[in-house]
Amino acid sequence: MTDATNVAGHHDEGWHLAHHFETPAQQFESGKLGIWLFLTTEILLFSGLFCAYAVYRANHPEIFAYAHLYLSKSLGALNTVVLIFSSFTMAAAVRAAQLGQTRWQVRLLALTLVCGFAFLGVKSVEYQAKWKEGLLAGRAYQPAAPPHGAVVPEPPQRAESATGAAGGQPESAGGMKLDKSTIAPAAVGRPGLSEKWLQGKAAHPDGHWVGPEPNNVQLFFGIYFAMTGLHGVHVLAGMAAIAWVLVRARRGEFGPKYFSPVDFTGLYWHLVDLVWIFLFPLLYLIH
Amino acid sequence: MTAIPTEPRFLGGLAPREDNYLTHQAGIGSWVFTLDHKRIGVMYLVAILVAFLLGGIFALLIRVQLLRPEGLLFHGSDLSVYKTYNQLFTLHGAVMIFLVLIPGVPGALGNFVLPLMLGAKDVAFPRLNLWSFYLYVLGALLALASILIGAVDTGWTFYTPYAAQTNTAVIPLVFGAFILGFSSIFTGMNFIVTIHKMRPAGMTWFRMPLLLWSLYATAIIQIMATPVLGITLLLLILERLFQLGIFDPYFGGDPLLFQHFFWFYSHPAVYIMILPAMGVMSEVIATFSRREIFGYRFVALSSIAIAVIGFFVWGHHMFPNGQSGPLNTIFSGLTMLVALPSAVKVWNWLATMYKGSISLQTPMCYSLAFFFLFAIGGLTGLFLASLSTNFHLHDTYFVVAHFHYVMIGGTMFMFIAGLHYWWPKMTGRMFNDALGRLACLLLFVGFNVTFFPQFLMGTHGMPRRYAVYKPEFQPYHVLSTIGGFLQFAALVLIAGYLVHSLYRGRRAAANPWGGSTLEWTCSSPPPHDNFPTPPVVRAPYDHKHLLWNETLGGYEWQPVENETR
Amino acid sequence: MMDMLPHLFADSGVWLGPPASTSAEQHDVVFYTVLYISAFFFFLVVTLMLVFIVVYRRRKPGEDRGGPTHNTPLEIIWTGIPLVVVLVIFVLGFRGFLDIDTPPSDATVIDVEARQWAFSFTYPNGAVSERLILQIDQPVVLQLHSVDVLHSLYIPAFRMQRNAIPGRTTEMWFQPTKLGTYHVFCTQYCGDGHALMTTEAQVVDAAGYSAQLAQLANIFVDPGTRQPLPYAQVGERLYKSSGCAQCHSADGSVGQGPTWQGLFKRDQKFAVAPAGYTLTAADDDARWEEYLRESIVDPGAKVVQGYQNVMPAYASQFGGSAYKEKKLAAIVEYIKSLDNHGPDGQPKYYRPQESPQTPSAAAPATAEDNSAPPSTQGKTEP
Repeated sequence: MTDATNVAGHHDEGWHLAHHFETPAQQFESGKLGIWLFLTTEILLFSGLFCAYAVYRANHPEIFAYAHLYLSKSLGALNTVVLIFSSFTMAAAVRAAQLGQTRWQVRLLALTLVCGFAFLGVKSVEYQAKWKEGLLAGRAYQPAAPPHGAVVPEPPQRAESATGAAGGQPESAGGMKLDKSTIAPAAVGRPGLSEKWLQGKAAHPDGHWVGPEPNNVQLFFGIYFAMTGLHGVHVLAGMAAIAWVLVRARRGEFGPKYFSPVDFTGLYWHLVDLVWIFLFPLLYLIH
Repeated sequence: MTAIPTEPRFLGGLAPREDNYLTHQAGIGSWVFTLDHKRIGVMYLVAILVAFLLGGIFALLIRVQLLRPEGLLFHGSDLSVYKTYNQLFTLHGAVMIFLVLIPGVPGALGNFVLPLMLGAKDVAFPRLNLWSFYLYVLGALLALASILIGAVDTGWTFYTPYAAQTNTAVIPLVFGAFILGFSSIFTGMNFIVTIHKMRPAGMTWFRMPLLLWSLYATAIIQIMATPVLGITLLLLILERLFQLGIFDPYFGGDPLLFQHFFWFYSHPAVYIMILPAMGVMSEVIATFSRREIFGYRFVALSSIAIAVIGFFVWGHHMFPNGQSGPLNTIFSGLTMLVALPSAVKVWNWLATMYKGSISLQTPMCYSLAFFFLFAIGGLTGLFLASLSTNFHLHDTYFVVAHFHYVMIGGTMFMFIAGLHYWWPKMTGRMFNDALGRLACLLLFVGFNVTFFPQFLMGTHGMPRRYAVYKPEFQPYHVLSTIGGFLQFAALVLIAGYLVHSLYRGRRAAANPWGGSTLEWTCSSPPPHDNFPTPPVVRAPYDHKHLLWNETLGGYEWQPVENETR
Repeated sequence: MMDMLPHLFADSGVWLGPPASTSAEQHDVVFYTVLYISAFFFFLVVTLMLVFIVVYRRRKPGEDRGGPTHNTPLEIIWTGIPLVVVLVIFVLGFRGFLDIDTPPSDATVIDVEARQWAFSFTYPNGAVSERLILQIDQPVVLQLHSVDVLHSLYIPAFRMQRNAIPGRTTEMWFQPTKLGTYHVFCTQYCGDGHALMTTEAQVVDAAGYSAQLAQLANIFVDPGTRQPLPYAQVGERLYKSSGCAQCHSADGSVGQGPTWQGLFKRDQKFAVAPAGYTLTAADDDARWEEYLRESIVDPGAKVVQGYQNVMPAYASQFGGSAYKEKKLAAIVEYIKSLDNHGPDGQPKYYRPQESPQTPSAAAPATAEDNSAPPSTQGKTEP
């Protein structure tokens, strides 16, 4: 095993065999199985949201076809590229750790961290835009204007105070207790894309949406914020883990004999990337 | 060496004894920061018993209220007076399920026994284990805080839209349950990795004790199902904080979606509760019949079958709730199938007793009670799984009786059995077996007096979660309340003689019951590092060479060479 | 031992009350089948257990009897037989379900509105009642919806229940076969008043059914004399049947909402109200009547000090048609009539037996109205 030169002149210093394990191999394999189990739980956590997405989109595709136009495809694509690149730098950092190359480990981990910041930066730009344009979930959905690429005949009727539902009754001055006896069905007519919509689309090929705003568009934003928000929290947690690993890497703790923290953090980061790779087309690229 | 260690004062004695995990280090810091799975198990045990007491007090208050049709404690025309009752049944359910039954056997008994049964020094991730415990404590504190702020009144099922609208402290309680979910997930991760990677040489999968199969199947459910509860509770919190609208029909959401998400976890959760109990059952039956478990492979694989099939039946909680007919049919059919592996276990346990050598000491008495009570609990599940009868019995006291029979009669009785079985190992003391059997009988009678009348109430139409009721149901309710206090008396008796044994109990031998698994080869209590030398692994449940030694006061392994047959 | 159980329910068995509908009778067959199968297996398990602990008890420590450790054919048998048994139970249950899930095409449709904490039944002729009135041997489909949270309509005698979900309509059907009055319960937890959200299902013969429905269709007419009833009297009936009585007392006792006794023209202090709005004893009738009407259809607009804003809005029950607005007027009349007598024993403000105050004069008369359309503003003196 060659000793690669590094900053402090030593490596593998972070490693020791825990008292309850018989061999180093047992320790490493246990850690690996452990992190894969944890990743399984993360997949199941997100699967609930993907399920909610699937149910609502299957029942009301018009909401998704309309509302996704509010999202910026280019910003989403930028974020996708950033995350994929960061996965590459992370994998390279793991490789550097395996080879005991402390300087490269530190650089690549720092680069991954920078990508994480970039991702969160773009996300906050998007969120700010949503806030400004009133594109929030539930009761707070008060869009300033229809989205680009939508041809909406007349602006939708909205009561002077915040109501989210179609045909919403005016809210009482106390701000509470709307008359729930008039809960409207979630969309006008049968769920799905109507004949009229298809005709309108044929007539206006450049307009991605032709027709009145569907009911309950706020549902899309509920799902959007829940999914991207939860993902953002995981990106943040991943960045914290990478920062901690970075500190340890600078101290020269990782090398050929011991690199599992880098390896496991890398696995987690890849999962975070993978979730985004599903989120992006499902939210941004709806046809 | 250092001075002879003395027994900690809280164990009542100052007599010198061998160093064990309890004496190894003194001081509160050595407990708070311990990485020893045995100490973590003991801490879990204490916390779970405290939670059990709290949940039990809520239950007794509920039963007192129901002594009169118009309500004994809460009555009157002002409807808000019933809110307290609604809070009581919500908290009784939430505390018992999240703080007692789900962590119960894995946390308090599994943590202690699993590494010992494997001949290992600890679980795979001792620090994660301690985290599990502290997350449990944090979740419990959040639940308590919610009680003080404005106790939740939604039922432990938190159905929307009511749970999104009620002005009680839903968020702290639900967030507490979210944290408890992580405690459960981490325990599951620990157990899976330990069983996969830390089995000793010679212990292949099919030479493992059956408790480990059960804990393994439980751990699979813990890591697969609990995250779905996590996202459900998170969405409920977002619904309340930001009116996210996912479950609120007023904003286009679907209240039924919440129910699907909720029960996707909560049905497998009941298997988290019963599978470890069934594992304990296997151990106790084997030891007290001095026999190998009949059909070992079938019993082992049935645990996995229950875990797998259990993921596909959640809709049976929702038959009248607005699901479509085809969906109802599928869930009913699958629910019928999940009954089969449990039945297989019961037949195999009975066959184990056939031509066994049965000793009716306290743990075995609880196992006998399990046969009786779990049979009733499981068979009444058939009424609820069948589509025709479910529409009559759903949300009546029939359901309440059914799940108490399986959860108390199944899980809690085996929790208590396990506690008695491993008590000598954990504490180094024997308890009074005659009192143990008496308490078992009292608990058994009290339990049936409490819950059997509830079946009859339910079939006559008494709905659940009712603070007041029609007068014709009163005799059943009175019987039920009497039974509740009988159970309380039995539990007080159990607590009494167990605590007494800590101070005055006879010292336990390494193997007082004649158990054949590895935890009985180390001293009672075990030393800090479990096995100074790695133990010899034998075929599971081989009792032939375990012979009673009067001087030791326990069983001893006789070497093979002495065998004359 | 069965006789020792008190005879709680007339004609009832230990397990079930008498079935009162076609599907209840089918249900009971399935129930007893499953019961006997379960009892068989239960007694089998317990008997084997008891036999074994006696026959195979340990007579001395360390003894071994050397029993078998596995037997695969046996495993197959005792897996296969329960499999067949559960399949039989499944098929029985499924067939019963097919029946209860498909209403006949000629069933009467009754609309059920569930709200915190009462049910309201609307019949095909427009009649509305808080009780479920059914004609014997006639199939009925209930279409349920909720206006606030989840509820469930359960009739034990018919062995049927179904959830009422806000934003959706669910359906259930049955055909009653026995005359009588049966409990109707809410079985989906819905808040403080869940246990009190009960009513009755009354199964009557054809003549009784037509009579009751006709009477319900216009509650302003006395069914016996065919004469118009005083509005306040009708209002009192609505007070009881619309759920008002659960929170507002008529005798001064404290409840979740202000008592109606002496409410009319009593100085009000508001916790929630538009800026500058006041309501005192000095205000005129029209202002008071407008306030009372608004309190019923939009209760959140003004909330009296000391009370919570928890009252559901009744806009759909008491608005949208002239008949419903008459009912609203009747409730207001009833409120006005409660303890409004001066020291001389005469009503202080008006006589409730006289003609009522009016809602909007623009409301068109409909065929439902047997009495004269309400006259315009102002009270009349005898």
